[in-house]
This record gives sequence, structure tokens and C-alpha cells, in this order.
Amino acid sequence: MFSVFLAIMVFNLSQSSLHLDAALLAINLWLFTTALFYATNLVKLPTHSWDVVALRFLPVSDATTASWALDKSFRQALFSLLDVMVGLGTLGACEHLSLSGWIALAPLVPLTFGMTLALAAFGAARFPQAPYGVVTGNIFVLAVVAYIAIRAAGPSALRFIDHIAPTCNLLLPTGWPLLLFDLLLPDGKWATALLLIPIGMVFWSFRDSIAIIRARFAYLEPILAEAPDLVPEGETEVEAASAEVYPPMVQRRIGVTAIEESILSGQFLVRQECNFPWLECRLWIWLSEREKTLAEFAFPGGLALTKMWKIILWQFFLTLGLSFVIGMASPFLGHWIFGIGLFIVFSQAMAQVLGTGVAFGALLNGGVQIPIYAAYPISYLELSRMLIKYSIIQMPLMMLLTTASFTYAMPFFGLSRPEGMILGLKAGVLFFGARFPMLVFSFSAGSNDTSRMRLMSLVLLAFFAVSAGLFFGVGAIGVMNQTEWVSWPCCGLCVFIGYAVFRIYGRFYHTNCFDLMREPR
Amino acid sequence: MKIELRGLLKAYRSTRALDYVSLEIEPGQIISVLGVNGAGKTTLLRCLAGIAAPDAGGIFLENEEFHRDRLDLRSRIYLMPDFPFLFWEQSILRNIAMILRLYNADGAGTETRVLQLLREFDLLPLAFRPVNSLSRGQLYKTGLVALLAADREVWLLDEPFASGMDPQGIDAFRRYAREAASRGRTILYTTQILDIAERFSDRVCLIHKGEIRAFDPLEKLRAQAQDKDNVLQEMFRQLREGPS
Repeated sequence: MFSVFLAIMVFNLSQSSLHLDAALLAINLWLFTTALFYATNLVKLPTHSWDVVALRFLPVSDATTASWALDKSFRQALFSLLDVMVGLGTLGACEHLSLSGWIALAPLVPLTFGMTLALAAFGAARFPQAPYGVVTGNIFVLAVVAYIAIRAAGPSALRFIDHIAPTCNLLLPTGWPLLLFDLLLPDGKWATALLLIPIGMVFWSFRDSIAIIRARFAYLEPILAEAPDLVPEGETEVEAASAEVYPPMVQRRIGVTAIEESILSGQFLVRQECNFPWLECRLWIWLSEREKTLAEFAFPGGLALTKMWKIILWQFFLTLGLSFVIGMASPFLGHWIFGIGLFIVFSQAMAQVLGTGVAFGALLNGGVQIPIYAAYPISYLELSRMLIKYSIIQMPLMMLLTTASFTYAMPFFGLSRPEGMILGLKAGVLFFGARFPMLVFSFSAGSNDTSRMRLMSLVLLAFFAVSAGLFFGVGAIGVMNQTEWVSWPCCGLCVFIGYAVFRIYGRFYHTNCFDLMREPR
Repeated sequence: MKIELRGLLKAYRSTRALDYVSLEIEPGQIISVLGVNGAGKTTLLRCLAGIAAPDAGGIFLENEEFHRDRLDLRSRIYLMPDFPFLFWEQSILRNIAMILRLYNADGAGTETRVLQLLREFDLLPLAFRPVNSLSRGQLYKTGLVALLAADREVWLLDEPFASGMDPQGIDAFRRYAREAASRGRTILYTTQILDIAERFSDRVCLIHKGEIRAFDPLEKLRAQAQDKDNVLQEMFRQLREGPS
């Protein structure tokens, strides 16, 4: 089904823009997200599937289990080979390849597929901590934005995509073998063949990458350093008492008596009140007592808003500064620096604003995965209300970011800075609206609402599809429409649709239409 | 709290984990839920906790139908899965504090009770350690301390006697559970250990292929059994061989 979708996308782009690069970019982005997905799976290889976990209990060496898990991963990846075949095949048909062109296309398919796998292995081995999920999510958002832009702005959006496509294809390594497609065309440039050098290097790294992944596969039971049974911060009374009793070298470690005193003092039950940085403090004051409990539950390690936003804003201003300075020497390079920097900044900002902490984390229980919140008396509405407040408190900063970005960037697209500013404000409103459907997805991901073929699943799938269409459609009108009295109500309507989706799903949730658990993959 | 199941059906694809089950559970009892693997024991607990959604029928708590939006009813039930849901990076004490707050059970006297429980379950010296440094049995004990400190009206425990707890821990749990039942708490636990079920339950709930085959006090079952010393084993033998 995915392959068919890719073929339609490639066909439409190839036909409408009459430009090869835009269609290649579509395949490239597809394969890039595929590579990120496989990289995530390879990073999680030791715990990715239950059969691997089960093999741990059998007298099978780690090396054998690793080989088996890797083989399984690569076997599953064979589906992408079909994507590559269909994508390049569609492109070949659109470009009316000659017979020799079709024959030459044959080796390009396994080369592109192999490159995707080699990149996934490279990423998993060298950058296991990279936020692959966040990047994948943002590419999806970009794709939706691009689709809306093409539908709304038509030829000008396509021209823009055509303009950036060659550079994107060169920047994203999954695009390198795709660019070799150029050699199959009558007017292809042989210099493109030079890309075989970096492709070869990536392939060359494959063996090492697999070796690193295998080495990391060895199961190690986590053994922590010696007892961190130290006096918790703030328990000065106990600390002072123990300081009198114990010599200086051991005064920070507490014995049973001191632990007893600490418990009896009730310190562990006292919630930390407003002893945070400014932004967290504002949120804390706003939350009700119950919501504070839920905030502690969702973010047991503590709220981290100010620190993260300082990093995000610092990176944003660095991006602006670099793109401005370099843009004076080379506007082309300046634009690219701005684009890439903005992608990174918005990836982090979205993860921050739409964060849910560990509330939806799933734990294995009796063969199924149950989200943590479901094991405790926590309702859909109260958990959501807390997370919505968590987002709202960050919205001014998100608005600042979107407004500043659009004000700076819109002149590149022929719009004035005030127009850019208004667009930025609208985008900020839409980000807020996205909080509601994102909450729905978080609840849905921990349930089996759409996992079985039954009437309820079909109803929910239809509901998701219709509401997504409405949300993006109305949102697109809100952003693109030049008439203010149309666009602003559309932005408001978009937020309302998001909220309505959230409330309607809540009805399904509350009336026990599905289980709050799902079978593991 | 009186619990009533009225024609509860829960199916996973073609398998009926609970096949139109009807039960009335009066408060103040310890009930062992028995059955072969896959009989529907855990599903019963999950339905009672609002995690699994019944396909038909309903659950009534104090004659009020239980849905997920009934937080007032849900907060009177404590579910203890076979592997407790805790926050790995946090200490035992912080986990307990967070759970107590979630149940709104952190009122006066909590400190003394938590201290007493930690002492009983040999967790006191570990109170400030993160739970990811604990053994399986200690993890379960942490969950139990939270359960005992929260002291809800209905306790749902999945395989508490296969949790890796040491004999002292099991003994302490049994004492506290017995005392709680005498105060009107309802305790439902699943187990495969028949000896324990025979000694530590007021009533036995035997599930087989989603159906309730017995829900009787042990004395009644003993009176009906031929082998008075191995009542539950005989019941399981009959399940396997079919009614004689």
C-alpha cells in the first residue's frame, strides 16, 4: 500500500512539475525516513522484539542471537526494496526510458536499497542517541506542509520545490544513488557518476557498523554504583542532625536511624513548591493540586522548560546570525543554513511544546503493553488538561519563534516582513491547535482502538482520516488565505476542530470502546 | 465495596477470555482467582481496573456502573500487576509518595504507616535508592508497600506469590491482607499455587475457558470434595478430565 502511495506521489510530482528533481526528492525523503526508521530499530535491537528477549532465556550465545535479530531486521527491510522498485519504476515510465535505460535502471534499485540499509546501520552504530523519531516526525510535518502548499499555491510552490530539490538530493545521502538516475537520461551528465565514490564509502562502512551494533548487543545487567542512599536535598534538619553524629567523611550518607527520622519528618511527602526557574514556576502556580500530582507523575525527573527553551532560542539566534553573515557572501548558502537550522530548532521546539513525559510510556504486563497512566486512577480529561496547560505556558515562546522565523524568511518568498509576521502568528496558533490531536494520538498509541478489524476500528479510522483532513484543510486555508477576515476565523476553526477531535475521542475512551493496552509488535 | 459483574463478555479475536461472567463479590473477603494458563484470570482483573473494556455486560461497584470516566470509583481500586508499574529513576520513597498522591492517600499518619511497612518488608535501608537498582522481589515489595499504604477498598493483585518476594515478605503481605479484609477490604488475587490458595482465601473463584466454574467458600468446596486434603487439586483434575 505504501509503495502504491509513493508511486502516486512520484507520478503526480513528475507530471505536474515536469521536473525530475522534485520527483527524486519525494523518493529521497521517503527513503530517508525509512533509513531513520530502520536505524531506530537497529538501536533498539536487543529489546526490539519479544522473540529476541525470549532468546535471552535460552542457552544461545549473544552472537547467535544478534545474527538472528539482524537477519530478521534486514528481512523485514525487504519491503523497502519494493518501494524503491516502484518509485524508480514510476519515474522511469514518466521519463519514457529507452530499453537500455530500463536495463541500466535494474542495478540502480539494489544500489539505492543497499544505500538505505547501509545508512541506517551507520546511523545506529555511530549515532545511537540521535533523535530519529523526532526527525521522522518533522519530515512528515514538512511533507504535509509541502502538500498543502502545492494544493494551495500551485505552480509557485512547485517552482520552489524544484528550486530546492537538487540541493536536498545532494544533502541527504539517500539521494546520492537516486541522482545516478540522471545517467539513464539522454542528456545525463557523466560527472554525476562521481557520486559513486561517497556511495562506495558508505557501503564500505557497513561491515564496521554491523560489527559495532553486534558488539553493543551483548546483554549487560545494569549495575549501579553503590547505594545512593544519601540525604536528599532540602532535608537540612536530618543533615544537620547527622552532621553532629557522624564524622565529616560519612556525614552525607544516612543510616537506618536517619532514614527513619527522614521518613517520620514527612519530607518525602512534601511536594516541591515553586522552587523552579521562572517558566516552570508560572506553570506550577497555574496547576491545581491534582494537576501538580499529575505533572509529577508525567515528569518524575522534574519539569525542564526554561533550560530547554534557552537552548532552543540560543540555537535559533545562532541560525539567524550565521545565515545573515554567510548570506551576505553567498545568499544561496545563507538560505540553506537558515533552512537546516530552522528544521533542527523547530524539531526541538515541537518536541518540547507537545511533550508528554513518561505518562504514556508502556510497560510489558502479561504479554501486552499497558501505558503507565492506565494502571493508576488517572482520567483522560485531567491528564490532558495538565498537558494542555504545559503546552499553553510555552506557547508565547513558540509564537515568538514562529513569528520571528516567518518575519525573517518570508521576504525570500516575495512576501513583506509584516505579512511574514502575521503568517508566523497564524502558524503559532495552529501549533497550539495541534496539541489536541497529538494528545489523541498519545492515548490511541497505548490502546488497541484500531488494531483489530471490527466496526469500532473502522469507525475510528474513518474519524481520524476525516478529522485529519479537516484539520489540515482548514489550517491550510487559515495560513494561505490573504483575506484576514477569512484566514483568522479559519485558524480559530482549526483549533476548534482539534479540540472537537479530542473531545469526541474522549467519548469513545470513556465508554470503554477499546482496551488501554496493545499487543506488542 | 460490593462488586457485581453482570454478564461480562470479553473476547480476544475468537477466544472468549470471559464468557458472560456474572458474579457478586461482597466486601471483606480474600478471593483467590484460579485457573489454568489463559483461563481469563488476568483479564478479569484488567476489566475490574478499567484497562480491558468488556464487549458486553457491565461491572457495577456499589450498584453504580463502572466506566473509565468514573474516577471516583476507580480511585477506590488498586491494581497491582505482576510487575509493578514504578518510575525507574526515582527512589522507593518518591515512588511511594507519588502513588499515594495519585490516590489522594497522603494524609495524616501516612509517614508512620509507610515507615512501618518499609520496616516490615525490609526496604527501610533502601528507601532512598532508585528502584532500578532493586531485585525483582524488592520491586514487588515496593509496589506492595504503596498498595498497603494507599489502603484502597478493592485490591487486585496479579500473581503476588510468584513475584520473587522472600518468605518474610509473603508472610507480611498475608498478615496485612487478612487484617485489611477484616476491615472490609476486598482482595482478589490470581495464583497458580494451590496450597497458598487453599490456606489463604475465604472464597475460591475458579475460571476455566472464560467461565466461572466455582465461586464458593473453601468450606463448601471441601464439603463437596472427595479428597478433603486436596480440594483444589481435585477440582483442577476434574477440569482436565471433564465432569465424572
